[in-house]
Amino acid sequence: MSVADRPITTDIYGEEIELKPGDNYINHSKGILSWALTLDHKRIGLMYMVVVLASFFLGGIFAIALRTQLLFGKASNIEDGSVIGSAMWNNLYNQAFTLHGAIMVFMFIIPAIPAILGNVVLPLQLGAKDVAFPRLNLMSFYCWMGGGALLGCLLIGAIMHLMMGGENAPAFLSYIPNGLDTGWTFYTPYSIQTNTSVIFATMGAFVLGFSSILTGLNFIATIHMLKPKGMGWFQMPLFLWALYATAVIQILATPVLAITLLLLAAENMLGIGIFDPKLGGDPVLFQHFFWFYSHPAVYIMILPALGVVSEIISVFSRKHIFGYKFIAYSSLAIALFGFIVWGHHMFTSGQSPMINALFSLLTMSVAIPSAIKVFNWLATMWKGRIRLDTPMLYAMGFIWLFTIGGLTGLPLAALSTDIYMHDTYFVVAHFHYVMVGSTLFAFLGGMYYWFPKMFGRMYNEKTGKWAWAVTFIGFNVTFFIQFIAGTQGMPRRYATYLDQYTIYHHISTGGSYILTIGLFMVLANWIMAKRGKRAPANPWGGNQLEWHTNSPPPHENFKYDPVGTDPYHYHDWKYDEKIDGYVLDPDHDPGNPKHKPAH
Amino acid sequence: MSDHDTHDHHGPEYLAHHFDTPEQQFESGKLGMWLFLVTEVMMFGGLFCAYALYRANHPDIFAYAHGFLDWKMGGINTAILLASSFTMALGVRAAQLGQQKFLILMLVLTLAGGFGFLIIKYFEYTSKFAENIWPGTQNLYYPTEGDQNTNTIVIKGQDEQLPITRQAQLNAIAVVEAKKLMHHGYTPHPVQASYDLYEKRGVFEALHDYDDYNLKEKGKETHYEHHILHMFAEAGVAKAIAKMDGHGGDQATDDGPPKGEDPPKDNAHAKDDPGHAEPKPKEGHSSDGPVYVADPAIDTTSIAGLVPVSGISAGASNIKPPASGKTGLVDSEAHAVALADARGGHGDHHAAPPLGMPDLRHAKYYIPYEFQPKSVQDRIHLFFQIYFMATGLHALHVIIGMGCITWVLGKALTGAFSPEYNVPVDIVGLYWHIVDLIWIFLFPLLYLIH
Ligand code: HEM
Ligand SMILES: [Cu+2]
Repeated sequence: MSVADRPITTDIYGEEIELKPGDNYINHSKGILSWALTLDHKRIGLMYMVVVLASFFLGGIFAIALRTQLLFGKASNIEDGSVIGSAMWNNLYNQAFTLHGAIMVFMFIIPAIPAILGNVVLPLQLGAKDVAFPRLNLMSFYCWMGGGALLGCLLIGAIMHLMMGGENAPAFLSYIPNGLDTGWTFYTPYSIQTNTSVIFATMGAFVLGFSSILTGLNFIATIHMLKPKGMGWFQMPLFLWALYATAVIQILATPVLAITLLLLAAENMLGIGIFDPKLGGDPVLFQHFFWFYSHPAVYIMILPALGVVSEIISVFSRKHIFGYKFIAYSSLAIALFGFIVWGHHMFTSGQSPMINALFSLLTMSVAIPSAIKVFNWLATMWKGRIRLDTPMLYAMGFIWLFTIGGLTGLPLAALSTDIYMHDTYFVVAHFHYVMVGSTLFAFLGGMYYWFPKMFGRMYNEKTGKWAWAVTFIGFNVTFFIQFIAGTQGMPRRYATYLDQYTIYHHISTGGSYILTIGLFMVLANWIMAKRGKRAPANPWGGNQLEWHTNSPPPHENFKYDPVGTDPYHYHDWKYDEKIDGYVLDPDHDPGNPKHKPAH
Repeated sequence: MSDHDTHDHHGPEYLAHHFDTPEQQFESGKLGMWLFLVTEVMMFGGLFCAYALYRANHPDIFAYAHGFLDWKMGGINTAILLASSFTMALGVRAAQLGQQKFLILMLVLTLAGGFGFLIIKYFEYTSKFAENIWPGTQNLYYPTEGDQNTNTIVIKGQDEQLPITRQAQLNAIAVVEAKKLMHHGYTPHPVQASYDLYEKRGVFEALHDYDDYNLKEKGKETHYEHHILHMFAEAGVAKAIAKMDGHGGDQATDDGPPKGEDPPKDNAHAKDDPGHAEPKPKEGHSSDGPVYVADPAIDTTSIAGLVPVSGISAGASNIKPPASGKTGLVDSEAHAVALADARGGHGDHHAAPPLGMPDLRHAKYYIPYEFQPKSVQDRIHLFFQIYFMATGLHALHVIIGMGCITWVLGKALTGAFSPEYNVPVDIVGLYWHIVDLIWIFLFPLLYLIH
């Protein structure tokens, strides 16, 4: 073992401390139950990390399955009796894109940043010992597990049907959930007619929604109640503003999804007909309900990402964030605007022209707070001493991809163009740019950024950069071409396509393989970091409170009660080459107990 | 769990390790509950939206279908919940004042209120089921193909079960409901009366024994003409006829029953009928009432001659009162279309009526089930679906609330609460109030539609 493995790290003043068993949250207590029943927000965050990343892996498998089918799906490959283009082929594709979407949305991207990074970092940034309701936090995790288990059953059932179904299927098979092929949007009336397990899926998403609600509730209460001395609303790190705005959406929008899914489940179980046109119901009402949640939900996905990027950009530019209040308020503005634009998903669903025009206008207005953020980040970087570490690469990649994703939202928000592009690959590309390109990249950047804090080890910077390059290239190759395919008229959700689209699909599939390689490099880097260099308390020189404690933090987060300071004021932190991290002059630490009466 | 052992507790037992002061902890708890209540409001808000949409699109359906609900039971339940909210509030106060015994008493009373609510709910649901009003596919009004479905009704006081086709039962109910609705100020559409009731003689005969629905004519020789006239008298259409007689062709409005005036001769029977004390139609809607003119081609003294302008007299429609013995869904559908036209276009409540037609857009009349277009018939069940979803979900919340109260009661019995520490009572109280509040909205919206 190398020197790096000496159980020694440094505290925020650069003094060596010996790591002893039990002095940080990871080795604080032992045994599986000490994790399964923990109330420690950091441990809950790590548990989320394991299961959410596992979901990402599952969702990814479906993605690769989809892209691989599309490698072969061109029309001239379809012959009589060929597998390609057969009912089985199409059914497989329908199930794959549905499960891909549902898993990625409900189990990965919604919980990713709030439940993993938010859980670990939020109380630390507040200088608090925990979230306001630790028990609720654990309950929220188990809600997630319950919802995940329901969707998991669905998935296993789908595989069983695939393997045993057909002519001589065993009798018990009919009791086993049969996958899902409605798309993650569950649109009625198809979701009432399909013989796949809509009830299972809706209940799964319902329970996952509970998890999301409870997390949001907890975060709002924590931010309101547990701010430390010296920290008002406008001394809060912007990540907290972002999580706060996200939580507002989680609280206001997710219950609407809950009732929608309940009604849809009742529709399937009892045939109540509220969404079924055959029974006098209104399928467009379902779309309204669904998007009333799901458009705000896209901001549940992106807002925390915006918060992560605000932190990284400022810290790695070694410069105070530019336009703090603008960024803070724009988070709230996005959250609130997000509630009045849902109709842009329904321009072709028979809304009145008046309503369409209104939603179009409102949708475009969301671009304003989004752009405010982008300009403020650029202004922050302007004349900064930029450190191009992996988190910063992801943050800068984010700005690119979010800009592309956001700008392509505008032609979709314009009525005349959307009528043409709706339900084409243009939409697919748009939302992957914002969901994968932006949120996933911010998530990865955030993971790298807080990795030293979470695990007390450094990842390998070189591998990190290479992995970034591969994911960035892979992502753009996969999805940029889809904008073109979409404008050429390639519709989404088809397992086969006219020959003229072959080149787009082949390039896209190739890109998806590159992206996969990049993501595995990321994972490998994290796993290898088990043996990485011990992390100093503050490797990046941030002044947010999470950098005012050891890496990894002790069970109770801080050895003494920290005092809030301007989180973006970095001058007191000096780079120390010896430890490859930043150290604080004790005299400049308002929280330093030496300057306070003992407590 | 070893989570707490590393921290020094610098406060009372109930102070969690991550809070500095009890106030901070209590405020957090309350804030958390308020946030949770917001989620509850948003969730029920979705249901209320569905309700508002369907009610706005089909006010007649809601007016019609709500008559099946028992507003008395609903009202009693409202009173019970209000009372239990009151006892809960007293309980919270008792906890703050440290009055342990009174707190326990109040919690028990609140819990009893919850039980009372559920018991009444049970009887309410079962009585609905007995009328074949179920959630889901078993609902009486569930759209069906043809007239194949047979339900049974049990005649009160006899063990006999009377088979009745779904259609017949619906028709029967429609007539009775028409009467109920008139009490609320709705006017039966004259054309409906003019031939519906004649033609449905068969149904009426079935109804003779169907005293669940309290036909007043039971046991007497029934005059259907009489019956119709009576309906007219109640709703004031007779006055309209009288006016028309007087002013030939002038437009007349449906103005409530003639007060003080001599009733026109058609109305005479109605006055004699001891079964019906005249209920006062609601004031205030009369000016919106439908406008009828007499068709000179038809004898206005007979009811069949009274038709809406959109019908025969304007010549704009080919709908005529059918010759006796022939009426069917096709006719009635076409008829309903004509009515819709008169209202200003099929299903469109905003367009002005065609030239020369009276503006009936705001007419508050009521067409019974039989004479609604199929698209409307098929939607009646939606009212009940919404009713069951909303009240069912609410009942679930009552049960959850009772669970929470039981938990608090358990703690109260061990003497856990004091003037310093009582926030669980407070929080559960908040929850109970929101459950109550939701009902306060559900009750008038479902039971008291006008
Ligand atoms: C500048 C901001 C944005 C604008 C103007 C915008 C606009 C739109 C519009 C108009 C559509 C509907 C396209 C159609 O179906 O024809 C759409 C779809 C979509 N957007 Fe955005 N968007 C923006 C940001 C985002 C963000 C931040 C996310 C997620 C993180 C997102 C995720 C999605 C998704 C998932 C869909 C497709 C949903 C589906 O049909 O499955 N959008 N966007
Ligand atoms: Cu949207």
